[in-house]
Amino acid sequence: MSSRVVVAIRVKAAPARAFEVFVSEIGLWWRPNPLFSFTPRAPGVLHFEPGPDGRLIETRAGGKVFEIGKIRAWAPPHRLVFGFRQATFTPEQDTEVEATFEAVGEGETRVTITHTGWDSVPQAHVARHGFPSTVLLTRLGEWWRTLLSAYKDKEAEQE
Amino acid sequence: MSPMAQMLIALAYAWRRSLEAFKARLEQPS
Repeated sequence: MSSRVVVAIRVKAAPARAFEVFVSEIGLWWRPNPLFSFTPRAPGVLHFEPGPDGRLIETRAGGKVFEIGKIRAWAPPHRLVFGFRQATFTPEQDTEVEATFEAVGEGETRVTITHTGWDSVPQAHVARHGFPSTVLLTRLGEWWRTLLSAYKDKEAEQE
Repeated sequence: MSPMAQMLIALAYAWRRSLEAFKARLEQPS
């Protein structure tokens, strides 16, 4: 099966501003997830060192820095590609995130995240994350609640 | 469902949650 994950969202901002906030304010909008911690320690603050030779790093409370990945494509305001590694990955294990910013409608942007490369992470490693079905079902439930809430708000706007 | 499939669903959920926060930040009144 494909190990590609694609998630898209439409925002009320031009691509240039969406790109800027995505990069410069990632420390403010990123939501750490215990299933995808970069290191075994408490999550730190994410920060992009911008530019074609830049990188995405996590800085922990004590000041230690973990490099999540180098920037592999830098094409503001339309495209950004960066590596995405957890501390437990071996050098051969590597995933990649592509973020695209496409103008749609009047002053709006579709932001699409495509996260690939999880097939480079052996099944045994993935299995060690442990995804008991109760956790999965809880997460799916939360996800649907978010979707339905957004749908409800949208529908209310049209009334 | 395989562990990989479960992980990818959880990963999609994690990205969705962060992107919703990104959208909220981007669209907040200045």
